[in-house]
Amino acid sequence: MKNSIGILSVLILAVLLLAPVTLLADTATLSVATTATVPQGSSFSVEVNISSVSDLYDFQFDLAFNPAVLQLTNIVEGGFLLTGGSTFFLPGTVDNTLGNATANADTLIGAIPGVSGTGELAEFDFTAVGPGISSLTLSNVILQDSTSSLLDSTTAAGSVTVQGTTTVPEPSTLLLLGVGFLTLAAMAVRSNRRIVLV
Amino acid sequence: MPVRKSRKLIRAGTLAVFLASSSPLLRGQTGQPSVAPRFALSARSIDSNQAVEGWPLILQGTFCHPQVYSRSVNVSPLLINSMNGSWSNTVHLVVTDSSGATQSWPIQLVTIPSGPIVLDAINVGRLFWVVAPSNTEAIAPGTYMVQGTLDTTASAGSSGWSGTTNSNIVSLQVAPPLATETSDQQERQYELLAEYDQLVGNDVQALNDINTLLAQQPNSVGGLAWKGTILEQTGQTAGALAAYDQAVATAFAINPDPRAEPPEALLTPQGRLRSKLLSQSGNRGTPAIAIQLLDMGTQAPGVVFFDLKISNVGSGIAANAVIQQFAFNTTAGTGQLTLNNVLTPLPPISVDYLAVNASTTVRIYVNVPSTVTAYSIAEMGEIADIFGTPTPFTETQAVTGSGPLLGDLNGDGSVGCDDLAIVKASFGKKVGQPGFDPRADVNGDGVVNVLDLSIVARQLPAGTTCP
Repeated sequence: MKNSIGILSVLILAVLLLAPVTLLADTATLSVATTATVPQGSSFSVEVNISSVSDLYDFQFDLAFNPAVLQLTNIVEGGFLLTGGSTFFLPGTVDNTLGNATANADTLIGAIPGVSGTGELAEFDFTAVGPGISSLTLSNVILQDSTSSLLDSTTAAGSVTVQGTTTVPEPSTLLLLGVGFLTLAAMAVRSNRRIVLV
Repeated sequence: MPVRKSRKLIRAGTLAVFLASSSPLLRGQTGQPSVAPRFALSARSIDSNQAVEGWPLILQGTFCHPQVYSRSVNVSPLLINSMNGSWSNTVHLVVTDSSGATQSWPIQLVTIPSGPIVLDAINVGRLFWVVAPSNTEAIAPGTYMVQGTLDTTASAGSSGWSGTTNSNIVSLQVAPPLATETSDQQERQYELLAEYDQLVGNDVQALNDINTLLAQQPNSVGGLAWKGTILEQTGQTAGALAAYDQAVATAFAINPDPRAEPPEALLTPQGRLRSKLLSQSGNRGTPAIAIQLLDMGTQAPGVVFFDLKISNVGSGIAANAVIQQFAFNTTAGTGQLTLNNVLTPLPPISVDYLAVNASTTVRIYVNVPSTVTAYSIAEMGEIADIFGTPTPFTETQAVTGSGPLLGDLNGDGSVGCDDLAIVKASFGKKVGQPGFDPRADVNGDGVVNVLDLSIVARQLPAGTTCP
């Protein structure tokens, strides 16, 4: 009897311990894989990745960015879905005024199983056009499995910091600035003396 | 005179001049009472004092007479004359950072009233300013102060109130974008986006914002109420009432015993909209239902889908139409049809608020044996008028064959890359938009997206590559 209670307790404990893990594993996460800092004028790529997904057959999402800081030049299919078979990829509609790429979509072809695990869904090529910070946010996410059931998902945003071009003062400029500050300082001292005298 | 004493006198004199020049209480216009309007400023983002980069920021100014809503005092009105055509031009906002440095935020005044305004015991003026989501992204995180000033000294003329009055200072904490959002934060973001889009005059986008929220949180009472508000403001009374009905039902489902806190904010517009619908219909009228077979096709071997168009062909608004039961009758061949309970929402299937001549579409899936070649579908249910009085109905459609192959959008008898190309050409389009091809909306939900694309893709042979 004691043994059976002990085994039961272990089983209950195992279920309790495993349950949260199982629940978490049911929710896929789409994330923008960058918090990079890039110089103004440079071109770079940003990956949109998925993790903890099971039987992914097709997906769709929107990506938003700050158009004053970034301009989107190209969208390329990621390799994750291709591991399951042939695909049909539709890059999103790019609006560099509003700052978004809407309805980026990809689907497997044929009555085949979906893809599980972690990988890259799509790659976005940007040019850094202005200094500042641009968040890269995902929305309107649709994920389906091979039975046409919708999959739950969460999103994680990324951000890119674009550093502006700064001018390094030449030595002669520094010299002139130094002389200017010294003159101002001397004038301030003389002015203070007058106040004290009055 | 000692130097220290003379300085004190100078300070006192300066203070008196400052008060005389700056306080509107002492500088009332001739013939006007010596009172100043009140100017209250508030902000809305994630809450009243915290904004998030990438979210819209909304600022609201309220202008009123100090004795507004007073019943016991004879209130002398305050006239705020217009400047360059609008009294709103006498108001400006100043933003400073925590060090006191003035900021140049792209704040846009979105409600520009024409002419002057009179503030008295009843009339109150309101102005709204917004900072677009794309512009809040450019604001560095930190603490900022926003203050407004109403300055009529240059525009008062002989009849208007002349003076300057400042609003309260709004302290605003600007935070970086949220890495992850709770469901409450997601609800708040979409409601804020909807309010922003309404303020800038884009009601269609405002409704899209709320529909996006409701797609992710169908039981968002706030989202449903917002939907009702937007639909009411755009003249879609029946749809607005349906949204408020759903909001009320959801609120009561969440809190079945709301005696302590009845949802007055929902019940009031719900009652107003119901009265409006009645007055629009002119008389009680009697709704009547007609159901037609709009489209059909093969979902999978042995499974046929039917799009049923449900129309109100009566003389009054239908508050509700419910299909309670389906019946199938084989008229040629052998075998019995059954409702596919995996794919079809189980009856009762309910449709709320159908105006006269309005219609909506419902898709059902039926298991059809290959030995059946002709059959009929019948729907039995009730249609209720605006007071809820039900009238039973039975509608029947005759069907031959099993319809076209699922995914064969161009009707050439097979599913191929040319069918995927039809979806591609309309991808992202919604019904009513230029470029929307109803053939591409395979699942009939009014938008062409990956759900349609994958239905076609599944029917293609594995390994197919399409351009």
